[in-house]
Amino acid sequence: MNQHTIDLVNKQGLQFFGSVNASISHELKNIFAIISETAGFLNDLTQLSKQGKEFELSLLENCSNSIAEEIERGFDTIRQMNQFAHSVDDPIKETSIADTLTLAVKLTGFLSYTKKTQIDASGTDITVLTSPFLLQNLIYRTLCAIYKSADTKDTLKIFFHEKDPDTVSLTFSWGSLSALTDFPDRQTTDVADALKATINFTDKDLEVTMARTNDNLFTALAGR
Amino acid sequence: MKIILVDDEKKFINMLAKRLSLRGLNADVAYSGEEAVEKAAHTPYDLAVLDLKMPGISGFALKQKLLEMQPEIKLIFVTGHGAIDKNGDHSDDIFLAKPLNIDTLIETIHQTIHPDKQ
Repeated sequence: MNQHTIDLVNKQGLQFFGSVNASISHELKNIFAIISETAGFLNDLTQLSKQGKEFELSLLENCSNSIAEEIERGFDTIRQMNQFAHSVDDPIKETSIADTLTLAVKLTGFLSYTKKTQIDASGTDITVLTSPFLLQNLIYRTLCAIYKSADTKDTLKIFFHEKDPDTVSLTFSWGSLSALTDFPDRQTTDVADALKATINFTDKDLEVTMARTNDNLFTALAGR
Repeated sequence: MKIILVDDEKKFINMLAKRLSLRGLNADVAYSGEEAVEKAAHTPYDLAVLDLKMPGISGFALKQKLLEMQPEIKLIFVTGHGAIDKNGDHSDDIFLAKPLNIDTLIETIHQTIHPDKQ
């Protein structure tokens, strides 16, 4: 278990880290592409103006607003990248389910096949003493599998609650569960096992249940 | 010359269409592969500039659909991805990386439409 968990973090974790960073860099390139084209258009307008041609001032205002919006989008993207990068700082720590879900939804938002998602934040947040990086990995993989299978119009709803004092439950609910095949795959099962989590299907939902503490993970990752 | 630009980044292709228009190239825009197919059903295009990664129909899947509808259409792919695997089915495809240089795009458009004039 110990060596297997360490291998999991080292090999598969690196793949996951790379995959998320690739999607973030893709997002940033799109942002820069918009800023670049808008700046280019401003330059085009400047050249036209030098030639004595007139244009609506609202064009300048629109360009300025667009650049400001994209810069804010870029900062937001970098904030998420930074938050994700720091998920490897502590091998084990008290980890907020709400924060982890929120970040995973934002990170999967950069993928072309992402779907509309709502996290039910009506209840109080729950923390688990676990590997934040592996938990992020498990949730991200689950979201990706659902998004790939779900119809474009489906809205994914995520609920979480304390099933009992030792167990947390995350429920993923959307329109077409039957379309989700080949999940969990081997890699997802490995991550779930390391987290002492199980993935079950109910009539309409997918439920991930997870221990709130994990002694094996402590030993493997934190050497406790 | 009739061009269609396809990208789910609306601001990007709207701005690109304006810049091309200022240079004498009029382009339709489509914000998804599905919309591009719909437009191509009614309008013959000389060239399509396609984003690779889009929700729904991807750039490569859209290439197949457009070629089935309009076998003579020329294609240029635009991508935000760093590395492009040009092996296999994509060895003859033309790729430009985001952010684009407008002069490079226009030169590529002309070379793609009129390869004999290079």
